[in-house]
Amino acid sequence: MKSYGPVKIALVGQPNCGKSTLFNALVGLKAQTSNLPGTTVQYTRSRMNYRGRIFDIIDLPGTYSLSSQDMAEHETLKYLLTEEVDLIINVMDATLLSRSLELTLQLMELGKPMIIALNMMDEAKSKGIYIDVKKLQEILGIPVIPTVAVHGKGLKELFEKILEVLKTEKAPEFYRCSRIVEERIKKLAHEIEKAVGPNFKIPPRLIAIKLLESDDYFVDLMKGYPGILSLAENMRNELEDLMGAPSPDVIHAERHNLSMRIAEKVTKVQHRLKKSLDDKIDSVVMHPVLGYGILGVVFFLFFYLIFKIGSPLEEFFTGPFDRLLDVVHTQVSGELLRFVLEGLVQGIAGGIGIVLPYFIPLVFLLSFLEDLGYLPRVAFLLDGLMHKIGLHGKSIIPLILGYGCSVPAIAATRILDNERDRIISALLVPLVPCAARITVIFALVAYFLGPWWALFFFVFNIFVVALLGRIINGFFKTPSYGLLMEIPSYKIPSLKITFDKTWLQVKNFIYLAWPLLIAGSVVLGVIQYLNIDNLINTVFSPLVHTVLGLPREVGTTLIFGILRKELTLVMLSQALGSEIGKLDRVLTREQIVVFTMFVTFYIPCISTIGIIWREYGKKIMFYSILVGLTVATLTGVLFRILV
Amino acid sequence: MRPGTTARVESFAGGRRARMRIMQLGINPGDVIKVLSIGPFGGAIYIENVSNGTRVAIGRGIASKIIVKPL
Repeated sequence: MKSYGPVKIALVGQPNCGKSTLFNALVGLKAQTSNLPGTTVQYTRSRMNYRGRIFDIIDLPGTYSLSSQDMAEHETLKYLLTEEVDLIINVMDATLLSRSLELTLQLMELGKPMIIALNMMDEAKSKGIYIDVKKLQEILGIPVIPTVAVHGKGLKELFEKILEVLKTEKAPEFYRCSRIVEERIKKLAHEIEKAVGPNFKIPPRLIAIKLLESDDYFVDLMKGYPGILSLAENMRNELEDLMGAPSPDVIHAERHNLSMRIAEKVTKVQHRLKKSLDDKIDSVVMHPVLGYGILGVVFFLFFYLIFKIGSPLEEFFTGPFDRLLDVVHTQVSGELLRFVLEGLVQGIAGGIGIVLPYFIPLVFLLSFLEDLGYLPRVAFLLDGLMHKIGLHGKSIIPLILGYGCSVPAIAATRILDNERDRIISALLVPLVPCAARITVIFALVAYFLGPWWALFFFVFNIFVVALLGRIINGFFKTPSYGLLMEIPSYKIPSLKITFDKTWLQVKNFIYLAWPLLIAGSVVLGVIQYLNIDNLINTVFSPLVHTVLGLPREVGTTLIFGILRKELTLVMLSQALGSEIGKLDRVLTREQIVVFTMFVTFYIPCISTIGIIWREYGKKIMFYSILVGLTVATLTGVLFRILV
Repeated sequence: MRPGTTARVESFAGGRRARMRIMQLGINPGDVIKVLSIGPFGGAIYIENVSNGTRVAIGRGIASKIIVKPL
């Protein structure tokens, strides 16, 4: 056992097996979880203390196998090979034992101490699957701890086992293949060991297997040893001749067959209650006609509920603040002090009165839908339509997440298999109204013009996104690769986890965004006092006033809106010198519609710009801003003419 | 294949990438699959691997490369 420094423990498992849920249960809520494959696209690390030992626990992106096919898998593979991990916790989905074992067998090749957390044991039971844990442990020679991460079951046992395994530092033994394959692996591994020397960090046997699978990462790793590569190529050809299938398929089949045999030995399947319930729900939800009806209802209910919960709260909270503002306006004598105080009150009121009433139900409902397992089903239903705009069903997932916040939605584009799909999605995501902009839509359009107008906004928005997808798609020559996605079984979301996740985001808003709202508001007060706002407004007047027909004063708010989209709303009332609840006295209906339309589409907020830059580079970031401004101006003018 | 029908997977045509992906998702030659639903507008096909319980949505293009024998 390492006597100094933190112990590095990596959580590895297939997508949607509950790694992140287990991670959160171990270290307290830190990672995003959901019931859709591939939520974790980058690893999360957290330090914790158990019985005086310091652990660094790392939640790695889900991977079906130890290969480098997509970005998430590549990340996991690279981490496991290059970072000095002390122990691997292999999280397995007990309901999919046979398939999960295929990854387990590969992890065993890493030569690191390992523990299996056999997760979702409750799910397995309700599906009538019984697993003989002791027998599984015997066959694999690795400790197996049954867990139910959602309810925090099995965690203590897991920690105790970690301490025990760390003491012995015993790595599992590797599995053996059938004779023809095994002989070649052994020989190739031997040659690799001779070539790279005994101190090489990656086990030669693992390299040998991966070379026979022609894995790009390992081929690249060995490119300094042409002798090894040509030997591997010869062996691949031999295997293909002898086994009648391409070498990668042969190796895969070895693991697959072994996994099936192990799973058969340790599993007993009885009645299948849960499964038939899933079938019944899916026969409606995934039905080519009924499914669309359900989707429409869900879409409508989602926004309707947010409005029904948010608007009375908005009314309730803004009233007192409006009165307070009146008092400040009439009673405070010093002009600078008055401007600053007004800004302060507007900023505080904006947070409590406008953002939180809509933000909380939105985040809650979105997280509920995610955990339920509905989003992958939407991906299936919309696959055909998404092809019409040059994408496939999976791309809908980042777009739906965009209703929450564009930043994680851009990060989620990593779940897509190829570059073109990722770029198109990343350009479309910022056009989907995020929680901040939905707040603006509700607080302005729904509040002053009625909820149907708001619904129209959301439908029109989808139309614009689809149209734009089609246009951007025209710039790419290669067609989309197509959908290939696991559909997880339904899970009733744990209310505690849904509340926790909502709270995490609300906390972020309170600590990070709200101070910015208040500060921005105060700064605007000072700017107004110093008359600088006039200058800014004059510069933007050609666009804001001449083209869009909005009051000149709106110019400043749009600049601040790039920091946080909520600022446009909070500062709008301040810039126009009106209380939030009475904006309809200073803006016409037409202006409200045009303003909201413009705010929905124009330049992405600074955090979104940042993540697009980081993920896709300057060029795409520039395009994103250009697309936003163009669409915002065009739709703004369109509605100015139409309304 | 129509919804509700079952078939045995024989082999996969198409490139290595798609082939490995399908197998990693838990659909292998020899497995029995059942078509649960077919998405409209030329959309994906929702299938269950009866042999191990995996459920997958597969786009039409990739699905056409899976060679099956109806049961």
